[in-house]
Amino acid sequence: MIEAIATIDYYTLVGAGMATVFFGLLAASYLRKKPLSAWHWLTIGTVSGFIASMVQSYTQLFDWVALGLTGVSTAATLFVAGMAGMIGVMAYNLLATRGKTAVR
Amino acid sequence: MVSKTKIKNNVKRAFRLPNNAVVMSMMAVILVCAAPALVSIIDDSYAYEGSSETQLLDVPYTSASFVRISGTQDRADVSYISPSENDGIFAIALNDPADVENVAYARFYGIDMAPLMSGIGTFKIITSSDVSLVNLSISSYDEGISKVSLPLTQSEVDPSVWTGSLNSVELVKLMSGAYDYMFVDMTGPNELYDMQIFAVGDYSIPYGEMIIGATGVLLLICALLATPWFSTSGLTIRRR
Repeated sequence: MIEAIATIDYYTLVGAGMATVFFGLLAASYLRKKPLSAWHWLTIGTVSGFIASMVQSYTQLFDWVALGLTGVSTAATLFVAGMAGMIGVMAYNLLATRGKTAVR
Repeated sequence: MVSKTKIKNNVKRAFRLPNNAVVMSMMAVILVCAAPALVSIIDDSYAYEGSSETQLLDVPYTSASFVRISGTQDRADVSYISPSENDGIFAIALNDPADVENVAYARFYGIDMAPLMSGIGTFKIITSSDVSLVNLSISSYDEGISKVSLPLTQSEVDPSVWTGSLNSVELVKLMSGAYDYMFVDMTGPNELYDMQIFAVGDYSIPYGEMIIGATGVLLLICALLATPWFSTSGLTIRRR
């Protein structure tokens, strides 16, 4: 049997985290009827993580983010910058409007 | 009973034009998911039938090619012949033919990766050995960089030919110089393992990077438009 060495790719983990936060914020922007508790956020986070992993299995999204974070590819870095920009703006808008909207 | 007007109104409401916020968030999801998906689809459907082949020869390498004994970490006693001395053919032969009963796989190290740096990601291996699996791996001395493992597919026309292509992510990693060495594993008991390895094709267009880069720019524009200070009509001093 061919031996395998398990290593953790931290950049891919960060990619998974970014994608999860991105989908979580988008989901949160549509759930603005009542104040969200910690349990709501936990549920949103879990569902977003699941969606992110599904997206990864079909599109290698985390790998592109990891490539961008390592600076290996300028195109991937632009993609990460765009994604980080959207996350930043959505988080700011949600905080500034007290959860009413993520995009203005 | 629900009146027709009420149903009409409900249907109208359901299909009314979305507001800017909804459009923007839909755009963001589409961009983040669709761009890598498009690259992935192109990767899957892309079959390069290049006429040019570059034969990969050997480079001096610290690890020697070997044959692994099944179920152990031991190596069989072998003789290795480098391609530069053997008309471009890598070969490993068991010194004791009785060992063939216990062979798990053979590994070829020291393959020259320099011709791949121009963006060639399709490989062809020709072997006369009776093997059930051929796997090409590209790795780095840095343990933080994950290894690329590419199982090759056996040709239905000629069983001695095995081919495989890297996807866009792997190709970008390869061209960045993040990887230091490449090796090929052949599974199946044989007294002699041999292979000729070729990089097929010329420079390939980095469509993956082009799509991802363009999407990044669009996402940045979306992020600007999603702020209260910018709109499609330009800079707004007041908040929208």
